Amino acid sequence: MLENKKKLDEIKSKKDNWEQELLTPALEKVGPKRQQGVVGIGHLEDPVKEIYTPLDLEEIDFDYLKDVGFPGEYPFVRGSEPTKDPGNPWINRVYAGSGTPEDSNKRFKFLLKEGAEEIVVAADLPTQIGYDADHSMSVGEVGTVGVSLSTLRDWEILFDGIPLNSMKRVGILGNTIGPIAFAFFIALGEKQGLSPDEYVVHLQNDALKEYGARNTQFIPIRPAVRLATDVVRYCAEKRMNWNAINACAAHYGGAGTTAAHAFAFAAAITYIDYIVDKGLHIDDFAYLFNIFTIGETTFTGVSVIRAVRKIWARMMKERYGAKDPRSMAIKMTAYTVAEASAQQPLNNIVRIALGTQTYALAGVDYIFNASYDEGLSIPTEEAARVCIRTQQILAKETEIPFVIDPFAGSYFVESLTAKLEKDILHYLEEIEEMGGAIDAIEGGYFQKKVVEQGMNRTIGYATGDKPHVGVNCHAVDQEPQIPLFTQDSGVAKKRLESIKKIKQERDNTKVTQCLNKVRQVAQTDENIVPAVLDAVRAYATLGEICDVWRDVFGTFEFTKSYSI
Amino acid sequence: MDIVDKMFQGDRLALARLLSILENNTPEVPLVMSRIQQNQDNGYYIGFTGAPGSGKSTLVDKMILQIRNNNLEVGVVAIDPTSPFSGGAILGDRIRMQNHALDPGVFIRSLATRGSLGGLSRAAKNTARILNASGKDYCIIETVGVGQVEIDIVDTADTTVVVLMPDTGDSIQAIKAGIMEIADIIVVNKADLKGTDQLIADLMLMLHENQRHSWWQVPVIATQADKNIGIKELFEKIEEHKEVLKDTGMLVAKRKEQRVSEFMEIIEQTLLDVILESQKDDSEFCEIINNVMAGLIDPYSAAKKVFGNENLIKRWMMRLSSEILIERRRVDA
Amino acid sequence: MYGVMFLALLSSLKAIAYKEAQMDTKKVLMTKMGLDGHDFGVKILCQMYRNAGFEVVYTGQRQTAEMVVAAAIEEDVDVIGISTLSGAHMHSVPLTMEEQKKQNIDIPVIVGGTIPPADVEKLKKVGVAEVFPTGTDANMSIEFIKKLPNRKSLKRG
Repeated sequence: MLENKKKLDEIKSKKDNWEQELLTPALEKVGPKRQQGVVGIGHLEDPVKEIYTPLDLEEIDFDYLKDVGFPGEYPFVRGSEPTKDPGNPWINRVYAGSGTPEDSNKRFKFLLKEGAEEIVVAADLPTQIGYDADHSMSVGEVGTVGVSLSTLRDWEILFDGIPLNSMKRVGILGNTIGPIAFAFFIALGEKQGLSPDEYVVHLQNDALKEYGARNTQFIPIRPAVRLATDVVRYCAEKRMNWNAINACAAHYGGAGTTAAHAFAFAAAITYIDYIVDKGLHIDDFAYLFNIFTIGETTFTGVSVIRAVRKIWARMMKERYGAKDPRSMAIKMTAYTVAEASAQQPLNNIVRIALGTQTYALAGVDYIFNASYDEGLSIPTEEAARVCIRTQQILAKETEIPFVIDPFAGSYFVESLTAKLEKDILHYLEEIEEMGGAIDAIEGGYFQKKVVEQGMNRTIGYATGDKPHVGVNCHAVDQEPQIPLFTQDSGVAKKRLESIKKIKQERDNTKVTQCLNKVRQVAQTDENIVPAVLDAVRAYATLGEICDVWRDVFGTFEFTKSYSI
Repeated sequence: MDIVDKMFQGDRLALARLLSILENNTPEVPLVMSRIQQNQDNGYYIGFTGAPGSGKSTLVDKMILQIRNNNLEVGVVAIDPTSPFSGGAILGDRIRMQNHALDPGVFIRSLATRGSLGGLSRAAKNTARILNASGKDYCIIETVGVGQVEIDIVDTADTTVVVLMPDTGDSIQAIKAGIMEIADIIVVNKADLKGTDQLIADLMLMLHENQRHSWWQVPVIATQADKNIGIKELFEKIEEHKEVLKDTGMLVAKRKEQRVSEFMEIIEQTLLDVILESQKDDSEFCEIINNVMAGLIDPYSAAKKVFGNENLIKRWMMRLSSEILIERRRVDA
Repeated sequence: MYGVMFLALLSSLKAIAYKEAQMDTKKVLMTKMGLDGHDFGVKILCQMYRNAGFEVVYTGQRQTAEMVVAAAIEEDVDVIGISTLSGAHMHSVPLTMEEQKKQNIDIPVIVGGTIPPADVEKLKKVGVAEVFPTGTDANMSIEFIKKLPNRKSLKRG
């Protein structure tokens, strides 16, 4: 101990010397440095030091066993599992879908042939908001940002020739339609002759995130939380090994990486409290959670993900009394979008690769990435292939997969991890003082934080303080043209016909019975999933089920749009 | 047919353009206001004020609905603060009222507080008057309840509703700032929050101890605007207040008082403008100002000197009448 | 006699009081149409515009062409700004232009967001004043709005 103290004193005095004799004159030569308080999405919010030394570890009272430990062991900073298969260090996901189910089926087959390991279904906005393609609100939006999906028939077409168990996983966002999306996957499995334990579904199902950021909500916030947690309860009771819910930091990335993760934790707490209230023990269901992280720049990303794993583990153990290590070892999902630009779009390949590399270094379990043309339209086949190849190159051509948590022990990364952990907990405390995630969202806190930071970023870009290569510096007069995906203009018409046809073919008496059952269950505290599952099996449309919910729970009023 | 006639015939664009004239303080304002003089008191003015976050806009949104359900028409002036740094403003109140966007019986106009010339209260008041002149049965004026100027706007209202919410320090601040003095009705919104009962009890006690009028006991109404709770009661209270004002002759008296006070305000502002203008080029006046500035003469004696200077006064009068001539020509043209 | 004097006086008083009028303040209507819910961008722009000295009326989201045009009329704005990230711009924007014609008005419309280059010309063809695709410096749209003619005068009534 005394020996250690002596050593640190020596380092301190040598460091002071170095600063005086070498650093100061060198800094004078370099001139004023660019502002370090970088305000990018998921970037560092505070300035960093010139160098980090053992003194920084001393400052945070660094204790390897307590603060880091071993992979697969509490507090799971180095990952949820003891090791990773260097051949398959993470799951290579692709977010895809547009137009009709037939169009998307073709795209899925292409992506799987290129090596995608998981398809994350991108649904169009009407589908995400609970409208069928034939609803008046859907006009102009059918199949534009995703695939239009109304009935089980659409899902059968979507995965025609693609058994669900032929992929490592299959996923969808479905944040406001969680139980319906979930039911579609079960019913589709049945059609393909598969039982739910033969394939794995990865649902985002983070209802709160819509109210806080994405705005596809259509019923009031509290019933939406109930519906999302019904899915988790259903999986817990059936002991399913699916990913029932994600706590998302990703869409709040604009607020800064620490605030974004605090929002995710606050949402997770809301869901967990709701489920615990229903009488479940934390160890019955915590393993069904997953955190959708954000932090794309190398050191911040790696540090924040390590900090998040630690916070989750401690929260499970200390706050909720978890005993099962599975509850404490959180798995992470990440999506790289980087600061992609519409200008010189090929530059985005580099940006996205670097972001993806961060997640690879951090040991994220499920990774997907944006295509370089994302800022311009739906990806072309070529652009989607580059997404898959980016991950394959990182997984197969680099040494990243061979060493677990390679930055552990770095003076910089460890002190940054400690700092980010503190910052996340600070924000979380603030949110809890407001009454938790729902109150913070309704009070406009989440949105305000994102807009505030967004302002800083926008101003940074506009003044040039924050360089954006190819945009506010190194711009070109003539923007390079790249081929873009064009949507078949007949999508809406085809979708209308398909819905009309299914409504003629199905047993409408049965559909009415099923919808009545959904209504009846919605009015109680019972789990909605079985009733929705029966409705889906009977080819009730998504819009019909959501209309029942609107009826029972009321419609979300956008007049409440939380602050500006 | 000119724009005012068009407005009277129900042309929404004409109405909107007239409101822009007020908003931009163009020289046509006096002319416009004189044209609607006879019609401006057809409707009834309701003011809503309260701290940001108290849910005023949502309350106003539900009040619009209540008025429309009674088959009556309503205009809304929603005022938001101008940034003192940029002169810009974000006018976000429409978000809460968008359900009425396509209702021809509702006209919503957002207004920024703009500069501090005293023009603010006049533009807002005149906007309300034109909305009523256009045939609205009610005009709601919604302000952020901070600062004397905004209290002043709400004072234009026949019935002033002060909106508070429980569990914040705002209510105490409001009491301290004298905002309670202008309330005809107090609303405790978000009444599902904790602290509601306590706040209502405190308010009742305070109102009991300081009753302003023998003919009106200020009521406290609990609302949950987002759930449409308490809105009907609030509207009934407003109607009750309106009837009392009419029955006691207070409404007429109030309007008379408002007219005179506005007249005086305009006189005061103009004289002030003329005097301020003259400090640019009136050498005699400037010399006195310089002496005051240097501390060579005390302000009281200096003022005495000014008002004893017949020539200076005469020059001010000339300035005033030349301004009148210029303006006459402009209006005639 | 007294009445005439009063009117004259009133006029003169107003005229003086309004000398420092802010007639050049631009009033902007910002909106999100259809189902597009990504509103952080438009909210940031609202703040930028406020900081640039504009008065910004924000309608909120899920607006129809009829709602947007009705609000633009009531507020008598100088420009309508539509933020779109959902790819539905070739539907919502032309509808807004048509609705303007129907209501006999012609307020300049600017569109920003995820707009493929090929759509920029198409939007201009239906009458859009300017398009600001993702990544455009916010100052460019600010400068553009500043240069727009001021609509708010009696003559245009």
